[in-house]
Amino acid sequence: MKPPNKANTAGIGRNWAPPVIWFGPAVLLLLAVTLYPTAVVIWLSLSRTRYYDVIGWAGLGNYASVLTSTPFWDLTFNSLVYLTGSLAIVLPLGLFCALALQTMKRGASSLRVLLLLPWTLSMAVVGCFWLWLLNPSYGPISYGMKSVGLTPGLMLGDPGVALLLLIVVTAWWSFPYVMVMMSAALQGVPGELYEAIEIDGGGFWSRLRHVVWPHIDTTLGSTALALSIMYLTLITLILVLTGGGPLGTTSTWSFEVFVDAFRSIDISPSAVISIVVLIVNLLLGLAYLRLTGRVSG
Amino acid sequence: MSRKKDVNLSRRSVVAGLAAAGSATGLALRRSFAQSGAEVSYNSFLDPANANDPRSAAQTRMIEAFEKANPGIRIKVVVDPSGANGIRAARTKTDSPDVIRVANFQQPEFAATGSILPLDDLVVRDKMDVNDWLIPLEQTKVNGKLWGLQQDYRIPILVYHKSLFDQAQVTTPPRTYDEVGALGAKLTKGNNIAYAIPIGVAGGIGGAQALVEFILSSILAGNTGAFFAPDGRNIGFSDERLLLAATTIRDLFGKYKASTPVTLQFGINELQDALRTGIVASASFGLYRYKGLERQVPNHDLAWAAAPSVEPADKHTVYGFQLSINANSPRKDASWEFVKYMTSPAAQILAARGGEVVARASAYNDPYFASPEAADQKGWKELVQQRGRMVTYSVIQSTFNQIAGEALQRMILRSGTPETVVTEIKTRYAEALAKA
Repeated sequence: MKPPNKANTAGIGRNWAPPVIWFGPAVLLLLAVTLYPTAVVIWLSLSRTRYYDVIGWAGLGNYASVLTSTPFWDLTFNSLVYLTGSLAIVLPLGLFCALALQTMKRGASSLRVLLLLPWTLSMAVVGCFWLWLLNPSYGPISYGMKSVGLTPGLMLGDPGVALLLLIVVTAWWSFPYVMVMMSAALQGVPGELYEAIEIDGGGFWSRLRHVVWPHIDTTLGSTALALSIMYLTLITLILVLTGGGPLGTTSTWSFEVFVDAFRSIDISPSAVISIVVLIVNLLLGLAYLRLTGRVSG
Repeated sequence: MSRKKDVNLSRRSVVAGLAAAGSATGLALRRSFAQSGAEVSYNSFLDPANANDPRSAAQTRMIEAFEKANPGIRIKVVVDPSGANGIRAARTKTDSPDVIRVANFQQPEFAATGSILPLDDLVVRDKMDVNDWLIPLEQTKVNGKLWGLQQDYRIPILVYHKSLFDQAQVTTPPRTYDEVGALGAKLTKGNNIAYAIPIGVAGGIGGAQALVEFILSSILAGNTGAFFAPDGRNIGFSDERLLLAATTIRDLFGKYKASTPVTLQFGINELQDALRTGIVASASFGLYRYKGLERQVPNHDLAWAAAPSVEPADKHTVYGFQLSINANSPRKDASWEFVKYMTSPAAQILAARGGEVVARASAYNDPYFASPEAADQKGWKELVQQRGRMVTYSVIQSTFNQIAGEALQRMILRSGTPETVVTEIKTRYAEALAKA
């Protein structure tokens, strides 16, 4: 066996040093602000707590207790309806706006700025604005409904429609994001393809199906995944609009975690729901990475 | 050789001696600073920068007066509008803020964290006057201990629009819920609501804070009963009182139509907006917002009276704010000096000019209370004395509020019965308490 070459060893040492020096602090910071809190939440989800103190080990008992409770499945239902309902509106709406802006010959820039406006507003402002619009006593929407002979009802106070209205408001706020992403993707469609399909006598739907769709499907998918992660962790809009009510019909996983973290003495059930959100978001994140990997090659 | 060694040892001794002396001096200085050069952080919802709030201005004047009298202690205000910072600090057992302004309905939760210092011994040690308070200090205790000194009191009042009452020929403000019911036929029309019952989750601390604060706690506790047990855990009110409260609220919505389901969304802020715009003709409300609201309503149309109750002149629950000391604070002595001053008659006279119903009885001898601008405060002070009583709240009060609000919302929206409200509140509270 040959003795190790001193020069080579020193070379390896020198090669290792710069990355450690350059990236070490960043990695440490990343560990401190992401992995450490995540580890603490996992630890809390397996413990019994009193305020923020761990007072005992619960193991998977917390998971069993939370995952078999009716309120958790109510939250799951709300979260999934909120997620899918919002996506069902924003994706077609954003795509439609992007297509419309692309085909406009004049005024597209001004309209794009106007359509972007909701996305630039803070969620608290959006919430207050819609709270006024949907006020059943003096809101413009209820006033308009009354003036055409419709009964507005309780709007956000009605357990039957509150979640639907929350979805509408969320979609209004977030569809510009889809529009921007779709506009960018549409820039990548070669103009010759439009000409070719026009020569072949293809109409709007053929253009959409055979030219546009193959160029935007991955971007649309990754946009949907990014939005899904955001919807699952969104709190402010719900807090301002409904506070999770009426009768808990607009309370989602993340909202419940937020409320319970301040209200409960034992925060381990909230930690369990946090882990559920984390797992779902990790799966969505992995799917997102695969899709964006396809986009970037 | 031996001599040199001696010299060396002597040097060491000198160095060691100097180090020890330095340490001792440092410690002494540190202790001295802790007492005389301390900076006490004070967690308060009043922002010193808010020039529009007279209570903030009064708070600033009080702090200035304290710092002048105690040059070694500086006060740093930590603005905490929602109270979240205070409770988070207590839960995490941090050493700051040193002094926390705690509402009576939150005090059991603060006490349960073990992060608040009991003040009983300090009150005895410094021979504080325990009789100079509008409501005896004894009533402000939680589980037999004094966790803070009372700064002020709040009692629900009936706020109403004079013009709307005049138009409906209502000559006297309603004193009982039956009389409130009679307003329904006269004042609830279209969008207008005779008497709003706020059962919404928004505003205040936790859901349905307005409902519990203005209406529910008084009915549940009654004139002599408990709201919660002394330790703040088990329910102290009877099933009969809860049934009475649920029936009263159901009737005001359904039978009398004094309130409409629109108010199921109302928290404190929404109720204030509705009173300001005149959509709501009357409501039980917080006196602490009355002055601001009165200024926003044109033609001096707003007036107040004692809040309605089940029987005329029933008692109402009173709460206020106490100054508590963080048990983990390294500046307890300086904090105690600050708390003592802020609740002293001298400071309370300044606080009164901010519009508060101050806690010290002797403060009301000040000439300010003979002036016209203090007329409302004097009226509220008499209301507190005549009809106010303090009760013990729950260690999970915001959870209780949420449960009660949802149960009553369900009753109104889904045509439930008062009996189901009783069952739901008791069952869900017991479950929540078991987890706690």
